[in-house]
Amino acid sequence: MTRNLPSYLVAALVAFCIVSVASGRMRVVGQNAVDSFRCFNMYLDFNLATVEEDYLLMASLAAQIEDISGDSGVREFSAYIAGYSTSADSHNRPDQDALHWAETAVKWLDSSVALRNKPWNGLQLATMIYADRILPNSTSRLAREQMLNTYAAWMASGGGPNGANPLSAKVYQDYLACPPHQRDNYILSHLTQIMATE
Amino acid sequence: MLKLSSAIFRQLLSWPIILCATLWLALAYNLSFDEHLGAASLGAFLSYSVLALSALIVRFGYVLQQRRQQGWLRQDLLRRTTALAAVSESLAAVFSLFIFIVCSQIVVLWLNPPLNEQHEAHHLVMSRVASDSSWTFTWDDNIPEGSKLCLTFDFENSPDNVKTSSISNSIVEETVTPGNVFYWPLTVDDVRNKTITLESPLEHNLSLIRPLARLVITRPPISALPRLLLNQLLFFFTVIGLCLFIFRRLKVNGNLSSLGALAIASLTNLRDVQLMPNVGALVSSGLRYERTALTTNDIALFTWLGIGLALIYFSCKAPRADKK
Amino acid sequence: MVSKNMTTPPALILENVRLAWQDSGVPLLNFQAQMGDKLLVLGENGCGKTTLAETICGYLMAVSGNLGRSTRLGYVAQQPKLPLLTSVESYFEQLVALSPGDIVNDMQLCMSFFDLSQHANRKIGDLSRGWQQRINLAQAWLGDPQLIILDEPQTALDTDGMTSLRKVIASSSATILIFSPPQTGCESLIDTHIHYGDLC
Repeated sequence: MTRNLPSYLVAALVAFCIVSVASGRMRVVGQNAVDSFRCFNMYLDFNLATVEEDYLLMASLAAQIEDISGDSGVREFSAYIAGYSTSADSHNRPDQDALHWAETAVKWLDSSVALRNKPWNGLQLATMIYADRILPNSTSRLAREQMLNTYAAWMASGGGPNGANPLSAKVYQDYLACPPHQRDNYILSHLTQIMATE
Repeated sequence: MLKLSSAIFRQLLSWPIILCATLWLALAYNLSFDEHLGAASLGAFLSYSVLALSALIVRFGYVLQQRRQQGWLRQDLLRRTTALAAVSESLAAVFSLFIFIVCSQIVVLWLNPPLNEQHEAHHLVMSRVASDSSWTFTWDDNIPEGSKLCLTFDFENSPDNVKTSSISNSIVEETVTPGNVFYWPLTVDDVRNKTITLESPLEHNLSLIRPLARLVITRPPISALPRLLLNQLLFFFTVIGLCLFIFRRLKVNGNLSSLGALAIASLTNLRDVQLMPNVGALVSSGLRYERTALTTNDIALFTWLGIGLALIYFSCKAPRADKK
Repeated sequence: MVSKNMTTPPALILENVRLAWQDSGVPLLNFQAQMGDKLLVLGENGCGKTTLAETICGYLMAVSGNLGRSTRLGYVAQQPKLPLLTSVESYFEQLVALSPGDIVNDMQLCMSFFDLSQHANRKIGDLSRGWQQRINLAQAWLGDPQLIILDEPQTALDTDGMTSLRKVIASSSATILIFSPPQTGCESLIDTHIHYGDLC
């Protein structure tokens, strides 16, 4: 026993590391390679899921990719595909189906705002899905409120760092210049303008 | 000694191992920088490199065990070698790691892969409301100097006459404009303290959109690769010392010694408890590596290297044969 | 106890030594060998010969007592542990690299003791057990040892090998201790025989 004590101690240490890794309290040297490899494979699966239009799988993979790599783009892409692009008229999707996926997509985006590394593009996308895909088919007041809050937050951030729209700061300042009771209407008319332009 | 070193080196890096290392390097490059599926991040490549170096440490343990079975350890003890002769084992191990690192550098710098276009990465930061007009931000890791806070303020409840406002930490004051992301550069002290409290004038009634608060960290450019890989070598130098010490002094099986050395080195990453010098950042890798890369302070680094040197010294000193 | 000349320091001294794994009831070891002594220690299987040999070499630590010995030591283990993929010459070169001081010229001499030069470039693993034992024996004379411990050196040796070993032992100025069971042919190597039990 005494003779093998160092071996037992080292084996116990290795076992402790395994338990710590399993419990998430520690990352062993080299563990990141496993994550990088997993991420590569998940990108591959994500592409396949996109081709097969398996939106739930896309969202699930996107959440995992985001967790490992901090890439928020995949979640936004899956929300865009599931809730916006495939609901365009050219896709002939039934209204109920389109509404279901639009609501699901904004749920994916809204629930992860605080966790995404770059949430700003997602705010704009969520607003567009609300405005273009949900509100025309739904009378929910809650959806309207959420859309207004989401867009207000996006305007306040000016579209985020390297924001897509350099005029958004001006838009937010115009929005603030409105009396509080007219601000919602400002957003709605602004969104109507944007959608009409597109 | 040179003959001994080269013999061990040849044993350590046999042809199948060289072939495996080459294939691994090619695979790592493709997995990291593949045009469509690669993360285009140095961090991914570094993570594969760390794994390869860990594998070389395991190989080192295996060779040590082989040499024990072949009676080399007996010869070391018998001939009461000086530390210089016995250190050849660790020299050969360091040299093999060095060769792998140099090859990695040459491959990446020569092929010059396209990296993530955005040189700034955004990371989560903990924020809480300290008072009606002040907020505290905290983070657990050692983040690089030069990092910034990226904040979004809501002016909806501000008085009409407020066109701009200010944010301060009681020393410095910066202007914040509605509709623009606000950046707060962190000082060396802020980075060291891992927390900062910012406040705005109470009468301006600003509110922070906390879900949108982020840390902005600059990604190391490709020219930083040699330094990042050198850091890995420095980290594994002490791992080699640990492996040698466990094997020779504690007389543990070589394969178990290498696993034990890697386990002890992994304790640098243990959360909440600081058992080892804080050098985990030397092997920062993965797709969020920029958050901790190049943040090891000199004291921790030299302590770590000192431990490595001491371990190699003590493991190479032949034990006294005339013990009581 | 064997003693010759008490004025020069002994090559090996054991005072009240208790070996590892030794029962508490077994008498303690007391033994002294002077420089140049050549002794054959005979003992039955399991009596502790190899344990004593390894303790003298420093691989095992004595539980109690004093153990002193010459610094330069040669050892022939009962089970040779040789790098099988290495050539004979390369093995000896690496041993020279391990050894302190300038003993480069020793290498060819030690190899010639047991006619190893003819197999200098062959891998150790390709050689027969008898030739491996010759390598095991030759390496013990590297580095000009003052004390040589041979643990059952006759294992796998043919008549030529035994003759070579006898000659080398006779011409060596080092203190030599051979451990062997009785009736194995080792009695012909050295004239002075003692029983393991006499060490107590």
